[in-house]
Amino acid sequence: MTLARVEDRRLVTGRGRFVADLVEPGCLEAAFVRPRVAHADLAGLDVTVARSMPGVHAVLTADDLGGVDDVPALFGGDDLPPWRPLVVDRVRHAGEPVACVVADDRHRAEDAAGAVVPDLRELPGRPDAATALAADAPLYDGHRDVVLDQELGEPVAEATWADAAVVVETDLRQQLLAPTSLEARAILVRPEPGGLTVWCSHQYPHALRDGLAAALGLDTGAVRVVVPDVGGAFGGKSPTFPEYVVVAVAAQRLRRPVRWVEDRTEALWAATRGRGQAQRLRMAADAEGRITAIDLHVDAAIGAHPVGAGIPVQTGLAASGAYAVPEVHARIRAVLTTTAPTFAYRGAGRPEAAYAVERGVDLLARRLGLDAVELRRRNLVRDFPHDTPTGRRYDSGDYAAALDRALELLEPDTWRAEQARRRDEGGRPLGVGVACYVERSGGEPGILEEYAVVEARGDGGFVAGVGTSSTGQSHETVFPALVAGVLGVAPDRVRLVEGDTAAVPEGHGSFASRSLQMGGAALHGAAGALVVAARERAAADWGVDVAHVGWDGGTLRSGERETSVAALAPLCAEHRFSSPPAFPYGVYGAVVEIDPELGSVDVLRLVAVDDYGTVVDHGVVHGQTLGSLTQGLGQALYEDVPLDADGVPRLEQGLLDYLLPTAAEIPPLRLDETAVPAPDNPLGAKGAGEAGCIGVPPAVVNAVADALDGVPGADPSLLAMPLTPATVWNALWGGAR
Amino acid sequence: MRIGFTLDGRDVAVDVEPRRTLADVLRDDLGQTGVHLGCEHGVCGTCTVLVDGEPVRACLQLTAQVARRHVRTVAGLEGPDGALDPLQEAFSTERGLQCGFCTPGFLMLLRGALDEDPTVVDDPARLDALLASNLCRCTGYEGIRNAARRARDS
Amino acid sequence: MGWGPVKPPPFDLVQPGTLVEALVALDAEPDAAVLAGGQSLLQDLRWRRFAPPLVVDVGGVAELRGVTVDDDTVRLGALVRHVDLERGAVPGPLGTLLAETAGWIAHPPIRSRGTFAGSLAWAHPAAEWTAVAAALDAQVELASRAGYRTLPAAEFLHGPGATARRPGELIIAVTLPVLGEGTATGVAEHRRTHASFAHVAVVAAVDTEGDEVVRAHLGVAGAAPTARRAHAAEEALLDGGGPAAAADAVGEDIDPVEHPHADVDYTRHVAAVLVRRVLERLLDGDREAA
Repeated sequence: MTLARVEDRRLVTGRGRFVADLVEPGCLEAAFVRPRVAHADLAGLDVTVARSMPGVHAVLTADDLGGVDDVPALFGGDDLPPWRPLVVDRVRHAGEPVACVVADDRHRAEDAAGAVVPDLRELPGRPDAATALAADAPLYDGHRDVVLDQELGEPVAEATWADAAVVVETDLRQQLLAPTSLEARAILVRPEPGGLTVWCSHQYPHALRDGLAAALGLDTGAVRVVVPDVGGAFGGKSPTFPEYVVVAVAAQRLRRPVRWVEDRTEALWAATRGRGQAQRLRMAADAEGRITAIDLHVDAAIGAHPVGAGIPVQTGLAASGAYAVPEVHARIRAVLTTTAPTFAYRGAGRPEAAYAVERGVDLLARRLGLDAVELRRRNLVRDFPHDTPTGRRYDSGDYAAALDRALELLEPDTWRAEQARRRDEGGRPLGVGVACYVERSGGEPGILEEYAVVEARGDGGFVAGVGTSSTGQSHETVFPALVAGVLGVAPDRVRLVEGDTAAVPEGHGSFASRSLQMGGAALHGAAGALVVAARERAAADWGVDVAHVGWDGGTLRSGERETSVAALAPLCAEHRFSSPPAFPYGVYGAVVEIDPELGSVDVLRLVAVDDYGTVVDHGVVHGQTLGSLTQGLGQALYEDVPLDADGVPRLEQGLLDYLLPTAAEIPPLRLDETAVPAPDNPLGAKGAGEAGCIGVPPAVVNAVADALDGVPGADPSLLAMPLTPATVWNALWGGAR
Repeated sequence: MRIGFTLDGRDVAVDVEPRRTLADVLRDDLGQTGVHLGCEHGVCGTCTVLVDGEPVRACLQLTAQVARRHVRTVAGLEGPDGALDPLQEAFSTERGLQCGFCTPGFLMLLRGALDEDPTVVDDPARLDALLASNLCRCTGYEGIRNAARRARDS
Repeated sequence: MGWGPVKPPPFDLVQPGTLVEALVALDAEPDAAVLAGGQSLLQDLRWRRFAPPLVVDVGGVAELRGVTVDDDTVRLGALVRHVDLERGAVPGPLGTLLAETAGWIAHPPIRSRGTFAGSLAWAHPAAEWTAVAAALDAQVELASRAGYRTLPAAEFLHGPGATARRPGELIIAVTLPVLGEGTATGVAEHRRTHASFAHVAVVAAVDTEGDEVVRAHLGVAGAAPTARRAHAAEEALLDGGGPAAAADAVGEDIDPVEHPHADVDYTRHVAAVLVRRVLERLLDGDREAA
């Protein structure tokens, strides 16, 4: 089933309302002062000229934020360094804000921002974990640079390594990625008597409400967060960012609405990024190709503020991949670096794990002389639930069926024949790569619950409220239809309320592929509860047993008696759904051809077979696959935040340097789904948002490595994402040229 | 400075600082918030509008440059009766949008291209080269490509 | 230093209707910026890489419009846009080369505004038009209140963003030589995505008699601080060395700088490969035609 999208009319006519579009009388605009140094003492900050410039209402610095609490930590650890909303005495990443100018319009705010003069004394930077671990002094006095050091699973026994037929070991790199939603971050804060109304392009409005309230010392009830149309998020819009705290303070102090719309340079330089891991992988297998051990060491460059220190733990939790492996161990360290904070980006820890494991499987296969697909097949998890050594319980699946279907679409035999022909007769190197993945959707303890409420109204309509928050995933279409299905009414009788903390009292937003799985299930439960409540009300009114009251599309009947649920209004039912996470999985395949002279990679075919459990709206799910695989292609081939030796991004030309895939970069696709229902979910649904980001990178890199296998002198170990032409060219020549 | 031009078929005049770009003036002075700002350096294409029928980046035009010209935005795609342009219909039918932020820019890019030469959508390579003008981070472009073809047929 | 602006700084704007008015305006304000298509100027204004007190919008100057073709030269007025050349504003083999090159520049909404002359004025090291200008020894016509002067591309293009244009001067046209009817032309470009700048771009125009190359124009962008004519590669070609020898020789013509995603060795290699490929295409095509 694919429904017509309810959202579309306003969006295709330009009547969407994003934060930048909101008209708020008297609204001022903010701009931040962001030094382009990675690490420097802030010895002084002269704002006198800026404060006197025309149209300027305020220039806020750290001195003005004395009564404001630290930026709330999403990651709860001890000994965390304080995160002040504006730099106090040391800049710790390029673009970290030292001041905020509030003016009549953005032009004037920027005029004054340019007149703010910071006195910066540069210090050596620590762009990556290795450099940071070798630094003499901690980044924050009195705080450890390693903010997280966690082991998952038991260390692999020495005998296991010793007894293995093969052991492979490799260093892998996960580059930094900029989430790059086309609408960057944006917030508008209007002061209210005793509180605030906040419009924000956000994934987690209730957390933002709580975070702003905590930072400003307000009751949560005094802060209302409204999420209007959101132009994509991809993990980058969940925290309570320091800029948001500052804008809220400015609105309070000035008693005027204040808006900040992040520009693209800020988004590329100073917003959170994803990935950013240095990995050391060790894997062992016996002579039959059974994987006996995986050991994964991750050093994550977590940036200057450890808001995302929990993300790399996901990598450790996922270190078994799709395989039944007796011994799996991961050590995860999150290390402070002089870079913008590393946080969630589509996949958030799982792409990093899948990449490592799937590269390792290919290395094992090569060493054993086994077909890499066959090696995978021998090790796939087949019995469910399956407990992994690093603490996951895979709920369900038929991994082999997904592999079979992927192979049908990939047609590896045909390509292998072509590969052999080219190796004999000459021709561009061609490679075939496969990757299996298992991911986790729904979230982690603490957010594995969601709230929904469904209300019957006197006009015959229904209002469905849920704590998720759409950033483009068609909630207005899918959720009312889902509720209508339970109620047995036409979907247009159900209106969705979402993304407004005043209208929906609690919720956990939309990330971790949780909207349908958690929010949909909560709505499903609330709709069912409304039916029960209506029957109970009618039974009481009529003095009959509830068992004798029937519900039929909003009409209640018992014998000759009949009433519309509208007549019982106001009537509402809440539901709090909670469940363990779900484990979507799938198999990706890629065929690539390499220009041996330039190193350019041409993807000739990309295959994806995903299992998202029971699919509610095929169009939505297909769109999620397409979008996530395009972003996966971006990681594999194009996207990267290159840093200088101190950690300053080398992205002088914005999106001419940070390269997103365009329509002309999309290869021929062959996509399919299997659908093994999630056992812990009433809809059978698993999350569908992140698969392509997880499956594509290892499939493409494995394919390129496979192509290089046939080139004398080539060294596939030199491949690292993104597979730029220069990187592939260097690997082609074994680093010898 | 005072600048007059035609916006979606009606004459408008604004009195703005010379530094104000067409995108900012359309949004802030003329209320055309369907003209989105995604990068403000000409790459993403969310601000694409038609000037005398040609797709241009509104973020890379000073407003003074469109004096006496005809500017068409997404708001000008609908008929006077509110009927959608076939492209708008096709984007919805083909799931050519998710978050919708890039949509107005793609609509104007394609409207301009189809008006100039409808055969541009017939050749996949030409179509992709055209669509590569703008960025979408949600759809993987498949729905946009299909919408372009559907609109040409209708 | 630095921060993240996105809105242009304040400036005055004049929109002269004639060349004289434009030159008077430029003369009065030595730090004025010239606005033609604005596709690079607006970027740099937004990022406040400079803050001119005055912007002179020459878009309304009729004398700067149009293409003039005579027996030996084609004169591109300063307002000739990429899209004009893409659509065939210039006849013959030169027009073919210009049309093919234009198709590599950015994408249609940029090509509908950006100009050939503006591209030279901006002197981005990887700009395709700078390679054309270098290859064909384009003559850049500059005007100021003090008078006119003409500089060959090699003297006009200095380095990234740097040219010989003096305060008060305006590029009024660029003149290119007409190519003979038998001239084979081509472009080879290497870039990472369809939205990225060229990494390296090579343009070629070659005349042959039989198997012998009798005239060669090769220009390379993206492999030196500014585009260069590849004299050494041309010599190798004229000496009968063929595409491979030209590719070997082009290393003498270039001087790459390091990029985050391309070291100097790789860029040198790419330039050589592109030179060889475009020449193979032209010369093989020539033979096939013969």
